[in-house]
Amino acid sequence: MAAARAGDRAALDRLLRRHYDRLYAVCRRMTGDPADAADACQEAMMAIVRGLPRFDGRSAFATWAYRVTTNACLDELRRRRRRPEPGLPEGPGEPASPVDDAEGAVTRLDLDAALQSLPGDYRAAVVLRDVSGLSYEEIATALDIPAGTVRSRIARGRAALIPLLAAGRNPAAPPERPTST
Amino acid sequence: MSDRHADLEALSAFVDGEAPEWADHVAGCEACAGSVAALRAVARAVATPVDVPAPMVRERAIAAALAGPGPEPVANGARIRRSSSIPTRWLVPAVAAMILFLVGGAAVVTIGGRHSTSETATVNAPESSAKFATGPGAAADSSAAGPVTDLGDVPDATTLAARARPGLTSRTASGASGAATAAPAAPSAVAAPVPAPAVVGTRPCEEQARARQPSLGPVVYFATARRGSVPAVVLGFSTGPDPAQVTLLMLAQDGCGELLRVAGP
Repeated sequence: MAAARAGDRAALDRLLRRHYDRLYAVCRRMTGDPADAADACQEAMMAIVRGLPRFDGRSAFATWAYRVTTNACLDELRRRRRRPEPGLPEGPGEPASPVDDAEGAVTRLDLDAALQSLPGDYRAAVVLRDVSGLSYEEIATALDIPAGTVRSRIARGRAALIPLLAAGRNPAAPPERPTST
Repeated sequence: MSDRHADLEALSAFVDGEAPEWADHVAGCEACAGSVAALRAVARAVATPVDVPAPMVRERAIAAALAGPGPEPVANGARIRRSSSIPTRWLVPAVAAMILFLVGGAAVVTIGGRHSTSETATVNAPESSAKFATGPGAAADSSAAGPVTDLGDVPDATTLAARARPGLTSRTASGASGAATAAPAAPSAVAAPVPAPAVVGTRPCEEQARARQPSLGPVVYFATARRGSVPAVVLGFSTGPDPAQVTLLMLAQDGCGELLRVAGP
C-alpha cells in the first residue's frame, strides 16, 4: 500500500487488480448494466489512483475504495440519464446466458430492474451490504452517513425489493410485513 | 421485547446479524419469522454473483488508471469528476465507425480476422512528411529517427481511427509491394500538424504491447499523440495475412498502458 501511495506503478497495478473484481461487482449491481458497470469501474480505478495519495488510512482501503466506486457509479448513472443509448450491442463483457439458464437469466433481469427502481442512495446501501458484505459501520463510513441511516436505507430498500422480486416469481404472493405494536 | 413485533429496520438488521437481541422473538413469532425469510431471500438475490467481465475490460480499466494524469487533489471519497477516459461502451461503435471510414475510403480494417476484399488504390489523402516505415520491406527503417506525425489530442477511438486513416490508407494502397513508407497525413480534424518529439521513431512501447498480446504482427504504422495531458504513441500492428488487417493501439508513453484500441482481434 505504501508503495502504491508513493506512486510505484507495479504496486498500483497489483492493488487495482486485487480489488477490481469486487469493485466491478458493486458497479454491476449499482448500474444494472455490464457496459455501464465497466465504465463506472474504470472511472473508479482512475479516481482511486488520483486520490490514493490523500487516502488517510483512517478506514480500510477497501472501504475507501468502495466509497470512490459508489460515487463513480452514481456519476455514471447521472450521465446515463443524459445521453442516448448507443444502438450497437455491447462487445466483450458478460457472456450471454446459456439456454438452459433461462430461469437464471430472468432472475437476473428481474433483479437488475428491481434494483434500478430504488433511489441510488438506498441501492448503494443495499449493494454494499449484500454484494460486498460490509458491516453497517463500514457502510456508514463508505457513504459518509450515520449508521442509523444505513440501517434504515437497507431495510427500506429491501422492503421495496420484496414485492418486485416476488412478483417475478409468484405475483400472487406478496410477503406479509408485520408492524410494530 | 418478545411480546411485540419487531419493526422492519430491526428485522432487516437482524438478518444482517446487527440486531441479535431479536433472535428470541423471531424464533417464536410466525409473522416476524416470515418477514425475516422474505428479507433474507432479497439479500440472497442481491448477493447473486455477477458475471465476470471480459479480461480486456479489466485490463483497459487498469491501464487507463495507470496511464491517467496521476495523483490530483481528491477529497477522501469526494465525488469524482468526469475524467477524460473513454467509456468502454463507445469502443464498439468507434470500431464500427472506423470500419466505415476505411472501407468507404479505400482501405480495409478488419476485426477478428474478417476482412473485406474491396481493397483499392484510390487514395487521395495528402501525405505528410512522416517517415516511419511500413510494409514488409521497411522494417529496417522502423527505428530510424525522423519526423513522425503527431495526431494531436485524441480523446476517443473514433478520433484515433479518423486521424490515423490517411496513413493507413497510404499504407494499404502501396504497402503490399513492400516498398511503401508510412505517411500519416495531417488529419483534417487537426488544424495544423504538430512537430513530433524527437524521442519517437524507435517504436516505444512495442515490446510491452507484444508482451500483452503476442499475436500482434509487425508494426506497420507509427505516430505520436496525446490524450489530454498524457503523451502517447500510436502503433499499428498487422494482425493478419492481409496487409490491410491493422490493429491500432494508443499507448501512454509513460508506462505504455493501453489508452485506446481500434480493430484487431
